[in-house]
Amino acid sequence: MKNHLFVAGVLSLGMLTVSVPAFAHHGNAAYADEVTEFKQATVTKFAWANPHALISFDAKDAKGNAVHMVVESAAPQALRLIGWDKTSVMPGDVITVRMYVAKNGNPAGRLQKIILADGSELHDTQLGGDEGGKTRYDPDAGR
Amino acid sequence: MRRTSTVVLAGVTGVLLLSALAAAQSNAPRSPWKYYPEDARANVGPGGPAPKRDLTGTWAGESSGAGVKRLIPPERTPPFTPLGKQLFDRNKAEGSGVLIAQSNDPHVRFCDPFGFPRNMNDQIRSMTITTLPDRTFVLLKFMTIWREIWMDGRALPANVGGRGRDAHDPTYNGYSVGRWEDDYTFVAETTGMVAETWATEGGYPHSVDARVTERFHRSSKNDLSLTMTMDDPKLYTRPLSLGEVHFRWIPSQTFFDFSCVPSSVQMYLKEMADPSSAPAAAR
Repeated sequence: MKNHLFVAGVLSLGMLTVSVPAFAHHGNAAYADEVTEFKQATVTKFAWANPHALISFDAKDAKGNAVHMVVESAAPQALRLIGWDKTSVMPGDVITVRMYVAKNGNPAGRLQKIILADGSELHDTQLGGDEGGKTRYDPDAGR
Repeated sequence: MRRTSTVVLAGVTGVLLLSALAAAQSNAPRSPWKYYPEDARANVGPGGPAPKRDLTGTWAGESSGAGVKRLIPPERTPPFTPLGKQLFDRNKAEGSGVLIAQSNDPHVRFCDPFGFPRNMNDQIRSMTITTLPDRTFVLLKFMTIWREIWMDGRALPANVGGRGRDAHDPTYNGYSVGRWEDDYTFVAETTGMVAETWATEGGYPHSVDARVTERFHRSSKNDLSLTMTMDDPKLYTRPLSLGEVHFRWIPSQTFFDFSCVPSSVQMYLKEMADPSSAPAAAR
């Protein structure tokens, strides 16, 4: 019985591993595999728009250089399902942004999650999992 | 061991059920104008027998937050004719190494209408079905589009997209007729769709003569499934399965708005998608 459970577990893990890419859409391959974190990021614009919500912000990179970045998340309708709304962030808000930056070096990327000033977190659907490695946050919420 | 497993499984199921119900009952009062996906998730089970010859109501599809999964995707290796393969190769669908900057998907780049049958297998998060005595309407929430399926016994038009004054123009949703196959299965046939649209998100082409068969089957009050098959001999050597999607009854009958807005897409492509997927040398 234990052997059967072990085999079933291994098979389940295998299915999860191969099924994740099937959920991937909209530019996943353009982004780095590791998360980059921007602390003390000042929001300059929050576009609550289709096809994907965009957050523009000013921050400093790892070398202390000032950067202006744009990060995309899911469609507003998908984000609503996991706790976002149109006023989740506003210009002037200071937040932490964790994102997968564009491999080509342009100042853009896909969100993992943001951490608001009160410590609460808002995730992306497609790459918002806390496991890292571009894991999803809520497969039912869409992209 | 088996008994222990059964008890544990029952316990876990119970906790999940209670959690879902608790979530559904929290945050009162609620607005009748808002969609609460937790209500749809808490509405477990069949909910009773399916009413006869009745699909009317508002339904939640995949990515609706209602826990609805796509049952079967479109065929992964379509049986293309040489012309079908040629047209398919022109369509650069996003994914499988094609980034947004390289895609020529008319919807992704310009918000062009999906057209039928893509609008029944892509972004199918919610639909409402309603009827008149001679027609069934499928109202798609995404892009606020409606389809008209005639049930007055007329035949599908024979000459769509051809020359002559009697020819019919192709349309984004094509021309549809429908009938009840039995008390719980409604079958619609459609032809005459604009050939420039894609049949699937993956860029499968179709001709104006493609004929798509939809089978809506309501197995209970809460469950509706849709299977689609496309017969297009010019482009495919045999009928192609476009998959099966599933829907669940939404208790509140309310769903959120969801549209592609051309100006928003242009902003997204300019500020985000194209810069992030352009070759590094283009910086």
